[in-house]
Amino acid sequence: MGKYLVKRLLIGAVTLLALATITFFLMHAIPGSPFAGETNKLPGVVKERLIEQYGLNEPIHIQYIKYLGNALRGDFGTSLNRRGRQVVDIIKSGLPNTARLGAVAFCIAIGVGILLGTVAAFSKHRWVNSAVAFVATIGVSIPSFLLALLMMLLFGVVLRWLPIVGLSSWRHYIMPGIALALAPIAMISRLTKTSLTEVMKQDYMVLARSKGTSELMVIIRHALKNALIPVVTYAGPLLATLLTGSFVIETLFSVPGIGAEFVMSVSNRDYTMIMALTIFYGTFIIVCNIVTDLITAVLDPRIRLR
Amino acid sequence: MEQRKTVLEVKNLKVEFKTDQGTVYAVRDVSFDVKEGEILGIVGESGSGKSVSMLAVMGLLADNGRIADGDIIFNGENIALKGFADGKAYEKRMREIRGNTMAMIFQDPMTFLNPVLTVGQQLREVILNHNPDIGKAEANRRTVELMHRVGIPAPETRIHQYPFEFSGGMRQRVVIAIALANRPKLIIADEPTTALDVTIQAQVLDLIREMSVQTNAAVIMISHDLGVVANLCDRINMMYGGKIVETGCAHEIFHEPNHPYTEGLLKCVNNPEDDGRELTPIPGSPPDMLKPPAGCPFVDRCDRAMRICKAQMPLATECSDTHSSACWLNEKKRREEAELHG
Amino acid sequence: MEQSSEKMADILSDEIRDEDFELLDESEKDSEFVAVKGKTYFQDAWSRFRRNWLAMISLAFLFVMIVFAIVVPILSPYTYDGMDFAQINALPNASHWLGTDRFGRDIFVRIMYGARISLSVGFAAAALNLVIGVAYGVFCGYVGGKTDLILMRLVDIIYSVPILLYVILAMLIFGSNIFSMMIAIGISSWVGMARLVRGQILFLKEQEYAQAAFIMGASRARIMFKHLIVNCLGPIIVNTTLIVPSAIFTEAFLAFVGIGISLPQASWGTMANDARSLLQTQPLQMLWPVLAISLTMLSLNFIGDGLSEALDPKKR
Repeated sequence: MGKYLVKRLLIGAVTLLALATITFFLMHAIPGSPFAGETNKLPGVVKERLIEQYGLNEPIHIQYIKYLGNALRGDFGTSLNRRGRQVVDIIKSGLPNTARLGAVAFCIAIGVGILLGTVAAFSKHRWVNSAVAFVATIGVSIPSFLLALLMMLLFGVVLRWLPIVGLSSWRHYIMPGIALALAPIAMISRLTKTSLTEVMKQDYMVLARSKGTSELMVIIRHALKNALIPVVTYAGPLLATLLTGSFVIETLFSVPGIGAEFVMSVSNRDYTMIMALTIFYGTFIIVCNIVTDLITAVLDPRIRLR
Repeated sequence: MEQRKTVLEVKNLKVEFKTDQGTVYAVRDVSFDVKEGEILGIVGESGSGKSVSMLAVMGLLADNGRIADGDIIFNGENIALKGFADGKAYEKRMREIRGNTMAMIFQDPMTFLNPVLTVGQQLREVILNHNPDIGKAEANRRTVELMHRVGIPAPETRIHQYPFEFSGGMRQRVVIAIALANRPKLIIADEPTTALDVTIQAQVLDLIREMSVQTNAAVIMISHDLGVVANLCDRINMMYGGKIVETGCAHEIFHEPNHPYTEGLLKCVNNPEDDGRELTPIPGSPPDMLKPPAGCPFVDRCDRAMRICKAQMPLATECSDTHSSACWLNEKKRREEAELHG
Repeated sequence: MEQSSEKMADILSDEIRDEDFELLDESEKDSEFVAVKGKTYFQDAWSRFRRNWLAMISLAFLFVMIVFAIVVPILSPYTYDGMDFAQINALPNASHWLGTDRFGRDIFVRIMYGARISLSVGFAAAALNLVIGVAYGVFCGYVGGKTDLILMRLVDIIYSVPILLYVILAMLIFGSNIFSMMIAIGISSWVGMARLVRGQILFLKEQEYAQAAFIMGASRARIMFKHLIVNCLGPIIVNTTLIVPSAIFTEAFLAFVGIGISLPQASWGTMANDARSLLQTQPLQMLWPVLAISLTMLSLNFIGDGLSEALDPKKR
């Protein structure tokens, strides 16, 4: 297990380094980027500071090493758009909002998704099955921003039950949380249903029943652990995407998070910000993947002991 | 044979499955019994209803299957669904019986053990299900003892391992240990050696016989292979198309087969004492159990099929106290003899 | 087996005549019982797909949508950017079937123009996904070893980059147009296909029939195509079908936050974004693009589900 963890961490570190490298050189290759050498469009102060900070007059491989060195110390430079603000500070102030909202959406998605999937897998009624399948298809078919808009209109504007701007109380989390969770609910319920149905058909379920184990214990002890493996595999990357924010939902609900920040930096061509956020996203996704692999290994001894 | 207690008596068992194509009549009016200390072989090809009839006895039919009719008398108690007030009461009683007084050894040790639970956990479960008060330490002690009994070396360490760390033969020993855990009165073995190497097959069969002698349990051995049951079983039921076509002591089935299906099957068995004889396959394929034939199910593959065979199912004719077969040839022979003598 | 032979004879001797004991002719036997009529895999899949009415309706809807997307902008007297300030925010009427927006532009034409953009982005992404993803996955899975390890790490990296970055890169290189969207969405979506195909190939490589073919002397290329690709076809088709709605979705939400094709070109996402400010007074203007997105996504998903059910060999 320890060896497995070390191996995964090493691979993760290499992946991250490659990601940073590719992003760095792509940014320098883009025409019109401040790193590309033709920085004429930028205001003089920013240009000077950039040249000074990144040593833009130095050869590109020196710049690269300097950037990596600074990044390792947590210094990603200053935002081009918001003069004088450190990129790291912007991320730090946006992250808690994004993460809290993401966590709420994640819990809703996992809870409701697994519940629906289990109900569909075990229900003897055909209509329950069809209903869950229908909800799942609707869930992946209706864009989250549309659901958000409809909820804002109904509960925020017409009925005035829920606030539609910001994240200042728990009631603020309800609508964006649900909007973010809709598509994942659809995926998880589908995944849970298929994998549970598949596991229930396995031979070892018959043997478990032949021991005189009650149906409930057969499901809890023999089915769930096996059936949850694919759900965990999906939930890991999902956590990464949700915690790092949904661009649209944050913009719609005016949540000051890093998703909204990313959209803004793309619209404003804020290159330092884009680079930092890309590396940040990458790190997060890699960490989530490692955690997912570890949980899968705990659930499945065949991976752990290989 | 001396008076031994009958452990299981199946009377007129009928099992059906609802499928998209229609109802499959898998077992059609099957009756037999098995006594303590006895090993009964049930032989037939896939789809003959041999495994399904035993799953019905265990109450482990798939969701779309049901016992349409018949009695299953186990230890003097009728455990067919119709003997109970409702499905709940049936399921409750069957839970007490399964893994306790009646146990099953399954075919493929690769797929019948749960891959994510340790061997110890899977063994302990069946012990604790029927002895809930013994505590974890005692359950562990019994698990180790059980593994030792079925010949798994170093059970103290292997108890913590997972099925995929075991070889096929050792896994099958685990499956057998699960079945034997609570010293059942009836052991149903569903092709326990099919998935194993030939060298290990003999060991596993010996183990099953040994266990039956030790505990005086009745054993029902399901197989498609006459060679496997030949040396092991006291009596043999031949099944074809959801019916028992011939039943008799092992030596009667082997030396005086009285049904064309049994004869055909014997011709497919490679007998080492008797080489030079050609192996003859039986032509054709088994009947469609969605539309079971009105007459003898074997008619389309029988080399001596007669007009009557197609129209009507023959009744069982006794050849000896222990041997009987359901074939129109018996009736034909009787008529010919009657003509000769009078 | 309680019936004794004497009793049986009693019952039967009257009814059954000796002629009944004549041997049956071979021709009177059903010697080979054929359980399933011989059908090819795709005939079988198609017959199952056809029985799925949701998928069939979806297919018809999509077909109509494609025809309209091609024909309507050509035949209609209006263009996507033709403004008519005499007809601002008109309700649906005889000349403007779905009404007009706040610049007096015909919504029906804009929706169909948006369908062109959405569908071509979707299909282009699916095509890119199919070509790159399948080739990459087959290569990794078949070659295996260190090459596979390195190439799959590359896939991890591509997967770790947020889609917005691809979009901005593509837009900077190719400009704010539909082509950039196709490239960006295509590039970010093929990794899933590559992983899927690689997994399938690895699995199939271990299967007995592939090994048997190898032992029997089939060439490597033959094994690869005849056995492996044919057996992966089901999951590949389903995955490709499902890429289309997810690409349409991505385009719509990027357009909605103002990234992607440049105005005044119409995409369903930009139309929805346009209608946001008028949501309370002109809800219908929001309804049309939203209906178009949702119905298209629904039908594509239903088709995908139908295909995955029809093509699953286990459900035969």
